Amino acid sequence: MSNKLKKAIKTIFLVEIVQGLALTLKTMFTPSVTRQYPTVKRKAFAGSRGLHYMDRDDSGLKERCIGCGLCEAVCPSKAITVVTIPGPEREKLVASYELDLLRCVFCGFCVDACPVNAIKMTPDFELACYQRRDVFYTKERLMDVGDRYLHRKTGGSK
Amino acid sequence: MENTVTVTIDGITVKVKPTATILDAAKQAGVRIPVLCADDKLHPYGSCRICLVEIEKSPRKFTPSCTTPVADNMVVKTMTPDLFEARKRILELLLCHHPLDCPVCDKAGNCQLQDLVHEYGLGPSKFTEKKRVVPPNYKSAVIDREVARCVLCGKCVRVCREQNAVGELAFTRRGKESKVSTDFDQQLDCEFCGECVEICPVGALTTKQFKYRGRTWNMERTQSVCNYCGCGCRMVYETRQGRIVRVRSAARNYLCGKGRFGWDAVHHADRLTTPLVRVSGELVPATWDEALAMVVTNLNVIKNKRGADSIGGLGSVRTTNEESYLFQKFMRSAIGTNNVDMLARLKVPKGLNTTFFSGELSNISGHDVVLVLDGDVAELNPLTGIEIVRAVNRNYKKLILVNSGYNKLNRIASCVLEYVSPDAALADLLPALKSGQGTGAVADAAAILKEATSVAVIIPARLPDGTYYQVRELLSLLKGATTYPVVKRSNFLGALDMGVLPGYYPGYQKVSPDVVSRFASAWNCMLPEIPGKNALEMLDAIKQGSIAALYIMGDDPAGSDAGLKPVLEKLEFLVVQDIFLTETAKMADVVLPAVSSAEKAGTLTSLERRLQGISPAEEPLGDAQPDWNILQTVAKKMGSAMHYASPSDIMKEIRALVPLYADLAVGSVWPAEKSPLHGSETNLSLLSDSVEKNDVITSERLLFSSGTTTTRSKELTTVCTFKVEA
Ligand code: SF4
Ligand code: SF4
Ligand code: SF4
Ligand code: FES
Repeated sequence: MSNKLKKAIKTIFLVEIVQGLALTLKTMFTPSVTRQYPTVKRKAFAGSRGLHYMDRDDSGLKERCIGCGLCEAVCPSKAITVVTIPGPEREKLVASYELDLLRCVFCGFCVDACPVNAIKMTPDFELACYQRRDVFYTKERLMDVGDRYLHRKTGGSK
Repeated sequence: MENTVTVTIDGITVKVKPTATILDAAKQAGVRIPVLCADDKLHPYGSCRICLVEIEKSPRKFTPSCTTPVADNMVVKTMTPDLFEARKRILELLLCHHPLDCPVCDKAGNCQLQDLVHEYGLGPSKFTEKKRVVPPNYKSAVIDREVARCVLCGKCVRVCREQNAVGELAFTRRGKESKVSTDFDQQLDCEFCGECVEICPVGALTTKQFKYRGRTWNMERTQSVCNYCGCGCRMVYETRQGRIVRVRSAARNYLCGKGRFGWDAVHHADRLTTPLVRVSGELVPATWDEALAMVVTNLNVIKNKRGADSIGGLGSVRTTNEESYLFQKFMRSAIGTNNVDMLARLKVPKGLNTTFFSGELSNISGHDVVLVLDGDVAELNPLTGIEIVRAVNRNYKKLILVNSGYNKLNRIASCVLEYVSPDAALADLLPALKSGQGTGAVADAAAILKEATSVAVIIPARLPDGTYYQVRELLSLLKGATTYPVVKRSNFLGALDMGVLPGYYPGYQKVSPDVVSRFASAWNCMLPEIPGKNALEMLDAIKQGSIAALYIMGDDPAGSDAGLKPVLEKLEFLVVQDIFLTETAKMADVVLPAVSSAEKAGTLTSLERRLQGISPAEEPLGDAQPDWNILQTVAKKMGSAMHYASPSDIMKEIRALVPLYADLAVGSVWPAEKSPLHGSETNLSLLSDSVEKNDVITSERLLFSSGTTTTRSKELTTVCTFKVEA
């Protein structure tokens, strides 16, 4: 059959339109793939890297961080600042732990570097906020994030 | 060349002295051998065994390189698979008891053990026993001992004994109970130089000051020079977020307690941050404009009413060369008087820089004999003290000490002359040298001195006329004598060089028509032709009312001699530039806040006449400004043309006008022969019975005290309170 004849048949019997409509018809009866974000949220994959949290130590009263500063050292974007002081028993106290999320690139190196697994990540990626100061996470706020994420009752200043 | 032997290290052949160790030879060959217990400052010891090497045809499989002398045609291998394994095992054994608390150890990042463990890739240990539990010792001032971390290398013990001659630390107990401690485990009672902390390869010795203040890899480092005494030790400021957290010695240098721990005065709450002016009897904060306007108007009024010579200027030994230069330029050109001097001249040996020029401190070891005429030298100039100890302990030279008390030098002296003062000692020693009279220690000393072909003579900080002539006679009797005068204050020589002297322009150029016209054309102004009043004459003139205004930069006369208070009260107008509200500043009409040496750039000249640069580690506190900038602003407002953007601009001018500094590189010493005063009878010190230049002393030891700044160092004052409690 010549090509011309084939083309004529396709044109006369609207073959391509029927094929297309068949696909449309089929899709009308399959479940939709578009998620209605933000009303519908997808479950995070294991290991996804979002907002950090600071774990609590075994007493649950204070941070697990021992102030070694390795996260600060490894952070490629210099987002973390750890300040330590000697405590009353001459132990190392973490006077402040600050994370500047604006700088963070969510590489997760800090989590890997931490020798005591104190700084960890939640899968939470919804970090938009109205005020610039809200992107600076202090030690207390990071612990609150952890409490919320792990549904813990301890602590929680707000 | 019989005096060398040939050694082959890893295929590289080097010629070394027969007394060298394999480690020295390897260094010369550029081969690195790992070490823990060896250090350039110390004798070989051989306690850690990390430096093992293999020697061909040796009956021993492994030999420690740091303690083994070389032999001719020795062939050494520093790295073989066997050696790698051996070193790995040694490290594993060291880690048996060493706590793995690197995350909270202040040494991490700078720890030789950590680096080696990393290099040799140690994994989990075969040894599973429990680690030894040893409690830390926090009892002492300044220095903490984390005993559990100690690897018993003995460096601290040795540096304290060999380099410092203090011997405060020692090994106590035996076997696995061994630890580094003091007599009866008491708290430290030493010089608190912190050399043991610096030399400890691990984190077993730490300072209270730096405890948990930061991690080594976060520090920014600024090379500078200590501004406490004339030795001018090179040091490094370590800053974190723009604030100093620690001071360390520059590589292979020494720092005493003042240099290492005394910097915290920079952060003292008493620092002046804004200008103060006297309004109805009270000093109140003011703006720079207000304060400077007050300075300029008053100085102008007094100058016009009573003449430029009714104004005097007292300079400082703490300020940089540039600032001292600008100070005398300001007094001479803007005010128009040669009344410019320093009270610190009361505290220097007669003949300094005219008869007695200091040799380089590192050469003290090169002499056969060290003759110490001032028993306090190790407290006044700690680095000179260290060099004397090095001469004796490392180079086996003889030490003759004149001392009535007992201090660390007594422990190492070959011969002690127990006299209350150097003149009494010299009165006996000189005849003994000339005609062999004398008995006992004096005869011994004379015998030692006669044999010596070169002698280092430590000249006392105070030298009355009589003693001065005795010392000169002594020098003429000795072969190859080099003098090392004691100069307490940091930039005293620099201030002299810069002409903070009533009779001399910078570079000891005597006030004379030639010199005056040369400077007048360089500075483009009229200059006074007659020499001014020295510090003592100025004080007299104030009493008599012929000096009505005084400009003091960085000195505290009222604080060092309460008798000067009523004198200063007579002044119509007093300006003080300082970093603290000193006793004198409290009496001033205007107080201008200056910055400390940690916040400014410039150069200092050490007692060896070595030009050294300081660099700012911090931003100026509050509104404070460097002295040179304050002076230049005042001068400008008084109509003088001074336009310097930085201290290096001032240095350029100094180099053009002062022959001594013309091509003096930073880090080198200007040659004594070049000084116009070389060998002359000029006296650059002022001796006085009426005025005392006392130090504002906080502790009972001179070592920890040098005046206004040390009083404000928390660390240095804890040393003193600890000692009082003990
Ligand atoms: S995730 Fe990466 S960029 Fe963000 S704080 Fe941690 S180390 Fe820094
Ligand atoms: S305290 Fe430090 S320097 Fe002293 S023996 Fe122990 S490890 Fe060596
Ligand atoms: S010896 Fe003098 S210059 Fe050296 S650190 Fe001590 S005070 Fe400073
Ligand atoms: S460095 Fe040679 S034994 Fe320690």
